[in-house]
Amino acid sequence: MQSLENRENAVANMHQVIFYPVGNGDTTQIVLSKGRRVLLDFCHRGKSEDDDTPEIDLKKRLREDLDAADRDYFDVVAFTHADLDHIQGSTEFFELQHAKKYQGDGRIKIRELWVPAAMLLEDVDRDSQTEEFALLRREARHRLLEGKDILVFSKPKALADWLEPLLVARGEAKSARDHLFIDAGTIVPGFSLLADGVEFFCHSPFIKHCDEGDIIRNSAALVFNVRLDADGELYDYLEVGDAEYCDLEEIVSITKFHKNDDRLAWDLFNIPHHCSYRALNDEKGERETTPTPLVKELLLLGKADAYIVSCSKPVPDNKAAYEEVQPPHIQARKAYERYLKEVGGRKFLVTMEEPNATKPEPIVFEVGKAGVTWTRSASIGAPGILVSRPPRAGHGRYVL
Amino acid sequence: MADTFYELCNVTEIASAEALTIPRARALFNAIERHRDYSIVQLLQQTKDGAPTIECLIVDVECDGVPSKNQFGIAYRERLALCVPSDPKRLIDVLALRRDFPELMHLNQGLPGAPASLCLYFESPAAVLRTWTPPAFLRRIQWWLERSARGELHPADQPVEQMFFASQYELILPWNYAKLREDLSARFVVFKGPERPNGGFTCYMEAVSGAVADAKTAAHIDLLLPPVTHGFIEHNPGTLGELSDILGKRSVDLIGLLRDMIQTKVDEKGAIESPDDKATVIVVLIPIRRSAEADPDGIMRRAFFVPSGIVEVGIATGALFKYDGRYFRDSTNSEPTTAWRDLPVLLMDVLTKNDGASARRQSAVLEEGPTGVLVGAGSLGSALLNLWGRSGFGRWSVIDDDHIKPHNLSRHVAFAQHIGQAKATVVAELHDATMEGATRIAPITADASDFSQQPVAQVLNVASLVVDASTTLEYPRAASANDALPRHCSTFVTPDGNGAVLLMEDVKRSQRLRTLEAQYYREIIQCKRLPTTPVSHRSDLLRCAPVFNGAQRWSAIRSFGRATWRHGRAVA
Repeated sequence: MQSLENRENAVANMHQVIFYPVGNGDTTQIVLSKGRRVLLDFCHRGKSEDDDTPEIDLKKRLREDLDAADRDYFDVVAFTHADLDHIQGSTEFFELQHAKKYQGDGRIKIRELWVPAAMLLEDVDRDSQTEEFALLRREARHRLLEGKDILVFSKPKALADWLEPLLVARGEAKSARDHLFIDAGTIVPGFSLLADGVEFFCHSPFIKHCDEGDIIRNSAALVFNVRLDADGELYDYLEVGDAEYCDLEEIVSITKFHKNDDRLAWDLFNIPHHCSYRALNDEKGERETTPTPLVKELLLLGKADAYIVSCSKPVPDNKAAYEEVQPPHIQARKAYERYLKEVGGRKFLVTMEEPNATKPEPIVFEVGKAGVTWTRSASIGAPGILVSRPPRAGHGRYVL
Repeated sequence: MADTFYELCNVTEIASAEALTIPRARALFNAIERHRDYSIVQLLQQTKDGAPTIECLIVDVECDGVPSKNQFGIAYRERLALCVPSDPKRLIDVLALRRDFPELMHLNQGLPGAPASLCLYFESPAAVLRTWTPPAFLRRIQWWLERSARGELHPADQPVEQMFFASQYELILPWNYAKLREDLSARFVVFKGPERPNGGFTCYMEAVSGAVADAKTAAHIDLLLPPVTHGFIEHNPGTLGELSDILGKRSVDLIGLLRDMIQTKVDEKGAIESPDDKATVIVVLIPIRRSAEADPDGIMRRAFFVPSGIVEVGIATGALFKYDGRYFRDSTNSEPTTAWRDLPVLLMDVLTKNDGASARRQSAVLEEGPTGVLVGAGSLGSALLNLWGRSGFGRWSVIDDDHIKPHNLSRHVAFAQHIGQAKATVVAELHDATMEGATRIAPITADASDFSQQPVAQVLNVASLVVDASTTLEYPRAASANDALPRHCSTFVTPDGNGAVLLMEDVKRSQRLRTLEAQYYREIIQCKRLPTTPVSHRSDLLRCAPVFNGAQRWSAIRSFGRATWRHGRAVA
């Protein structure tokens, strides 16, 4: 039947972008139409395993997803930066190659690990060093030394200084790991529009973030333009780590300088820093934050029917919210909503608000040829909503 | 922006929700206020004699499931009018107010130039209203828009849309209409049946030869149209003009075809207006396909009853002209008249009488069944033949040498008028009265045990299965001794009337009925579950089995009959 085939084809060429409700934290999964899976950040809070808390039991949910797809690995796991709310729980969930005790036992494998250079370099004093971060840094260094299953974004001098003697000691050339370093302004190898229906354009980090010495975690974070190809139609997903407005400004100006303006446009925007005003300006504003000019430019590059996702706690519009110090900030939300409306975008969604704040569910976007749609998790209404079969005479055939 | 939306007529604006009086409208308003995807634009009201008849809520709705570039033309944000009638038994009308809202299936019949109405439900209004709530209704609208935008609203296995709605008026065609049509000299008449209490009536098309007397008949025209791709359901045309416009939108020139047809019916000698010729039936055959590239899936037949004779229609369409009291072909008329546009038409449903294939389809009988012989046209045999015959199962000959007596009527399918007639013949006649020759049962009045008789020998020769419903012992035992006979099975109802027995031979006939009969006795004796009443030698006792529940009888016999055939195949 022709329309049945069309439907099957349509489903087959649909990518999914899933945002998990992990509180003021990030976890996003991209499921490509041909099956490959990319996970960006990981935030599993211990208390989420308790049914009473709204945060999703991420480990359980991801495991269920992978089980259903008969997999025990992600093609890529990318940690945009080393803040706890982007890595929490990861070292218990994933298999780490550098030590046997972090392997087996149902751990999920990471086929390729993507990390910003900062994650290999950060030298935090013992007190502020979280166990999680230390393990991940060790893992990243291990993979880089072994020369496989990792991509490191930007190659600051400090990292080269650390790496090269070690390579020489192994009897390898100093440039032996060059192919594992990705610079901003390039497309990440391993994925292509043709083969996978996706390409990852790296906006950040820049070398200067690390070379300036003290690494500011957020600035040196991964920022991508993820371009999805659905049957020939292209859709852009802007994935930002916890960048501040000045970082965004730099990204905008550098990208424009290199005439890559199209890499700034977006159909999906994962806004940085859990809806903090600092991603727009250094002043919160009383009712609404005013973005700096370049950030405003970025906001106005949203395409029609675009969505903004805030991976954060709920952002209600009440008196108390306006006085909040920690993100999310209602003033920032107001700003985003204003510009979203101006570009003809659809909705500003908050991960911890959908479908309600008590038990939020992942926000699932489907990216198909005809556009980006948000499929609601709750099927509202009784089975009466489903298509009912018309009465038939006889054995499933109609009578003329 | 203002003229991108339709404006509703005959309505006045209401200032606020407090002015809404219809309960459903208020409930809907509250639900809309609480719903994040809906926003109220305007409230309107239509009144009659001071009381509101319809209250309309104009809303904007956003559907996140609608892809932005969907090929069907549905927008993320649509403006709708939710028209709540004061009659609580009627559904709420949902109108799409955007002027360029696409034409889709699942839109209710609408007039051109007016907002389309969304056909949200598949069930009848009564069924929908039983579980209707405002939030579910609002979600249903979004569901409709989202599914339509993906082209998923019409499940692929659902029959292709009808082009017109069902009607009160019917035209019944003979089962072999297509075949009869091939004979160009065939003449058909359409008889009009009596009107039913609700005003509908049924017409019957029959092939005739010679003159037909007084019955009111109509002339008849048959049109085969080019295939149409199923699209939205058209509204019922009330005049020939509207019908022509509907078909014209599907690239069909109805009037041109009508004119051609009329002209071929009238020869050089012309035609005269006849008092019989008071009505015209236009039968339209429309092949329907799912998409422009697909082959047609089925053929829609529609008939339109025009209460004017073919001559009158010919004049109105400019196909004929009147000269000297006769009507001739008018091929010079380059100025087509439009008088025909106002001729009224009544839409008719076209139904076809059953033939074997359609009977089987309706009964979910997949196989054609055997060429069989039924021995015994008594109560059981007549019941078997009634069900098998009506459902198109098998090609039967029936043998019985008995005739109908009054006491038979307590169970036999025969009627009182048949008393005294041979049972086999009665059964065959009743079948003919049902199927009108589409399938036939061949009656033989003879003693089936006499295998040497000609008609008996003949049918036994060609049969693949013989069903013994004679309720005697002579026939099955005799058949068991004859090697030349086809496979047999024997059936009877138990004396207490609560069970049916089937004795089935294998294909090779290695175990014959007499063996199975003995096994049956052993079962009764040994098995405590079966009725202990022994089977009597006396067949008349069996025939006079006590009356029992009719429903039991029917279900027993019906599944029995099916089991006979299927069971046999399984064993084989």
